[in-house]
Amino acid sequence: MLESVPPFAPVLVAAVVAAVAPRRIGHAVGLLATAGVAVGSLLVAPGTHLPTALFGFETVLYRVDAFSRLMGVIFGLIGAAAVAYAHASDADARMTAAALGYVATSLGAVFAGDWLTLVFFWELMAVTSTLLVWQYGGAAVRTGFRYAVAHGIGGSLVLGAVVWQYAAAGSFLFEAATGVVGPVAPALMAVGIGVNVGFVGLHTWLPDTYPSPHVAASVFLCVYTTKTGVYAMFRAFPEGHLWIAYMGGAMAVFGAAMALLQEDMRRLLSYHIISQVGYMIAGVGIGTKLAASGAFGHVFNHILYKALLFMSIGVVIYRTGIEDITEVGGLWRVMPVTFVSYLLGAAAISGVPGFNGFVSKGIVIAEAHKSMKTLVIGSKSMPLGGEDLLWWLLIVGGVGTFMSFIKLGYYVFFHGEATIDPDDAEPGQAVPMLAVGGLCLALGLLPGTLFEVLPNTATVAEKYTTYTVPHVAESVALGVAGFAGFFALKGPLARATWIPDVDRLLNPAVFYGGRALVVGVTETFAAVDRAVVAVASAAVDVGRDPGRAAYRVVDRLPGLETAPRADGGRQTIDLRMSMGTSVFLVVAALTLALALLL
Amino acid sequence: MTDGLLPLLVAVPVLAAVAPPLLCLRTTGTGWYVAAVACAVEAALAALVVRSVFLGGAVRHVVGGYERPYGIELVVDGLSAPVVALVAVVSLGVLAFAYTAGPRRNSFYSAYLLLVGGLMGVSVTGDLFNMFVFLEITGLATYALVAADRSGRSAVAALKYLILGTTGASLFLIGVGYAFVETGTLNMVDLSERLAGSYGDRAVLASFGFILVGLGLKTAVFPLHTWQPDAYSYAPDTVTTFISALVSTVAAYAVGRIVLTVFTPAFFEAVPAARAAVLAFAAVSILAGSALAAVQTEIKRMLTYSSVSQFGLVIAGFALVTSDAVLGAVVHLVGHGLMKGGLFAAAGVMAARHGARTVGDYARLGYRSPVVAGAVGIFGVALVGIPPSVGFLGKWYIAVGAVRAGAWPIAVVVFLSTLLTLSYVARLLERLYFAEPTEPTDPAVGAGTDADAGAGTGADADSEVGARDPDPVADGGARADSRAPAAVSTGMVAAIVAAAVVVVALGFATAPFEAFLERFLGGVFP
Amino acid sequence: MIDLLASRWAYVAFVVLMIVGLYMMIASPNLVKKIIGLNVFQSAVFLFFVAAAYVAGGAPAIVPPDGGGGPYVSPLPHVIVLTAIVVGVSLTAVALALVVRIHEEYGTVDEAVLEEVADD
Repeated sequence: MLESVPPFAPVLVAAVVAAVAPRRIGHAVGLLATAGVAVGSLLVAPGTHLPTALFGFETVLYRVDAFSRLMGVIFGLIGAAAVAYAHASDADARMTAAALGYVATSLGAVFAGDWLTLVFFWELMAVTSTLLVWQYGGAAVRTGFRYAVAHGIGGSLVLGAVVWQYAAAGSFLFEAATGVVGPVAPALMAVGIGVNVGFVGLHTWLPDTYPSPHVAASVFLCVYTTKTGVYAMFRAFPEGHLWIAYMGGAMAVFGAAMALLQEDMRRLLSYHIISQVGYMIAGVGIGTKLAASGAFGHVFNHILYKALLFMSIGVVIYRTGIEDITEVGGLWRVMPVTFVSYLLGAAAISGVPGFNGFVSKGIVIAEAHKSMKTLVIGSKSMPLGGEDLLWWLLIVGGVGTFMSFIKLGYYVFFHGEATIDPDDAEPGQAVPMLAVGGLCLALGLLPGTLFEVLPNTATVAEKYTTYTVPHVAESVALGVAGFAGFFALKGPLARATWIPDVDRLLNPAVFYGGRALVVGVTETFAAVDRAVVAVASAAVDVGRDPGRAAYRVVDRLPGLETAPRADGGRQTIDLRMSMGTSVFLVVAALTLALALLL
Repeated sequence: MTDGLLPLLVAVPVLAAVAPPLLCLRTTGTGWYVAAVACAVEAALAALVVRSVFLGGAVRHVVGGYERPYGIELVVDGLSAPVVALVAVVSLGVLAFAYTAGPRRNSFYSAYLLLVGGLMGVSVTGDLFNMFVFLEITGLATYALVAADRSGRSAVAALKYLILGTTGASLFLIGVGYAFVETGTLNMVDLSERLAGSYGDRAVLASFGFILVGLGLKTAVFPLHTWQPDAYSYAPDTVTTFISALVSTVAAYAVGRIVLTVFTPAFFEAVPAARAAVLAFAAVSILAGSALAAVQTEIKRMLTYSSVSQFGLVIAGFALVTSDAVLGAVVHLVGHGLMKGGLFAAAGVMAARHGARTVGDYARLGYRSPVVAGAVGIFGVALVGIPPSVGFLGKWYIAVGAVRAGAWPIAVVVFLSTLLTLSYVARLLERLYFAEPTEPTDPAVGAGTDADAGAGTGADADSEVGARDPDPVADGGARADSRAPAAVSTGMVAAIVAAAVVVVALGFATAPFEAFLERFLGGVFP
Repeated sequence: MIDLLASRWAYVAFVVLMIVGLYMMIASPNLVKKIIGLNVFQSAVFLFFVAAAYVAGGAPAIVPPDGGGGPYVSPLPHVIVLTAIVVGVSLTAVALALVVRIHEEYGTVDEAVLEEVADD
């Protein structure tokens, strides 16, 4: 019975119900559906279910193995918590409907049994998440548009890779080949997925979009897109890849460093998604069984504590309406429940022993230390940064994580007296927050329970011991370095917030690049046009101008407008050809065709 | 039994076309009703024929009992059935649109019916010369319809189209002549049998070249598209809707018919240069069309150049001659007809309601005409090829066919064209929904007097049935936009919405398309 | 070359007429002359068909009841050309009607002038 209902179906139904039913009922149905998916994912038998033919190809709608099961459990679990939180945060029923649609498409993607189904849901996920952002209106519309463009490009790359994969492997099914094969598909796939997981340089949509919509929408957004990306990355590269591992390390450092410079609360958290996803990508890239399990454990844990952090910071924003950390302070007295949730989340993300982040991050770091001895860039004699480069990257990322969460907590909950007196979290917000926080703590204290849901349980339990002296010492060292670093650099950091991200450069670059392309095309065509005319007149002794050509490139990208022409003329690109030139073109084409054929 | 209906498919509209001018002797407003009856009968006939093709395979009719190679044969098989259905449905739909949108003259509907007859003729004929005649009937009616705006510019555009179109048809006729000289027959099936074995002959190659260039001109493939932007932009919006959905579509169908049935895939195997040449034409058309569309500011021109690109895609699908690619080409042919027809109809409504003719004019219209703008959005994303939509299905199969045939450049070109299509569709959608509300984009709002009342019903009441704004924008100067529909009725909006629904619904219709083409493809690719 | 002119003169005339017709359409700015060029081009096509049907010493294909006689010229191209002439004439009519309207609107039938006028 469970095998015949793909998990996206009930959630999709719930999305429709939420869109039309009264708010309370809609949220209840959404809660039930997502919680049901979490339970169902645990119980369903492994294997491939619902083989079907999509667009005439052999596909599998519902494939369950240890990896997709884990994604299903955590997606369902956090979906339920987020729906409850949304209900308590006065989210509009349509927002929840869009969010549930987004959850459903993500579930479709992680339970896909072949690349075609995966890419199908992948594209739909881009659409539903864009709707979720747009639904909020206002400034979110513009960021949502940039989000849609980024994901449109990424999705197209993935689609291209999938088609190429089909050509190379002869089937879309995951079983047909080990990951993505062929000469070009892996590169396309890595970059396409890289947009979703926020590769350094391709990440700008993430801190751009996530802070802009409703606080509850942010909770949904921070969970699904990037984690589905990690899952797809694993499917594409089950045996890892050197460059991907190092990209993960770079993301870990870059995300933490950028987060440290932020003063917008949700923007800071968004940069941390990049950093944390970096650990997962590093785990996938290393490619050992243990590293992959660690990466997926980190997916599981990260979803819990990142959602928790977004929820507790969301409560602060919900109650105060302030997004800037310098404008609040001393809130721990007035918002104790929120403060405790934040503390749980921050401890977990920083990897404090006793919390779940410590377990999974530890696996990845340990594997980086162990396995990367055989996986270095360059030769033994001239390794780039040494054998432990990746390990160092992950460690530095860890220090950065400590520092930025100390910063966020310090400014929001301490730092002077509370100048405002907001209420604490609503009970409806507090329950999911504390439940998730408790789970973070429980999984940290009983890592065996976490290992049960992980893929390759036996390997992990056998090869990895969570609480050893070096591991704990490492974490304590990170924490000490983080505290020392933050309080030493507090002053300079507060002044360094002007440092821009690459999007300052990238957005204009895309715009001017696009403009240059359009101008180039127009000019090229104009040149062709002139050449044709010149040839025509030489050939038939008609020296007439084929018509006025006025080229005008107007605003074709969001954000910038060109001034209208002073004389009020219409902005058209006039490429009309006279009848004579047209007939000449026909003759030329005919001559060319006959010359080719005869 | 149904084979007797095939001549009626052509005869009913052509004979009905005589009625409106005759009725002019007594009354002038009856043309629409004649056309409505004829198109309804036509749709019923088409439904019967298509159903019979679906159930029992190809339907043949030998005109006058003269068997081939002497007589003319009419055939509807899996390749033509979708086109027949498209012609019947779109002509009925555009007629519904024209009830309020006009033109209301009897002569207009005479040409309209003649065009339906010509299009049906091209789709059902099994004889090459017959195809030329119907292409010319189609052309003749189209020239008249393009000029129906009664402005000077539309007359110039129509004359340009006439000269080029006739040149193209004559080139096609020369090609037919070469094939006839080589084989002594004009029947398509006969020709394919007699051409086998002499593919390398110069006369056969010349025949292919002339036919291809001739039909390429009718289909408007780059660089033979030069008539199309003027003809589409200066024709009345109702006419643009109709001809953009069908005329080039049927010409592209003719290309497919000739490539697959007359010359057969064996010809391409024997003469690889021919296939390479067609694919090169198609690829250039796809890229150049998309690029030109991306730099346009006027909506109708942008959509026209987009057609150039999309038909390049269809031709590429036919020329790849794999079963997937041909399936994709047929799906895209039908899908493009619906999408582009819907877009031009929506452009007409926007012009009538808000005087919007350029991309800039569309600023924030998404909030003032939500239903039509929503339909534009659906057509747009379908054109890009985002599932679930018929646009995705067609592109997908063509891309898969290219990959399976090992024609990597075509696969890459399809991919690039998707990005370019995205660029202009995204620009349009961005204008519709996210333009900064800085200045009143509709000058009528500030114009006072009765113009305010008109804009008021359109904007404030958020009503989809708004009165027409006076239009000072489009043509420069104070003259009203004569191309735009006279008024916007609920029925017109409903027709556009129905097209959008069909575009999405056909995205799930893989099975019917495959069922239609299975037998046909089985015959072509043994 | 001489041989070709002597034995295939009809085909040579077809090519010459075709080129003349196309040239007129390309080179003449006068719309009426363009239409004349179109007609010349179409006549070339008709000539091509008629020439292809010609059989040396052939009679019109009016077969007596006993089936004897002959050789006959092929009747099919003649039918085709008849149809094509009808099509051509109706096209010319439409084209000239359009030219009349253009002249009413702009007062010129010169394409170069027309472009300047239409651009205003």
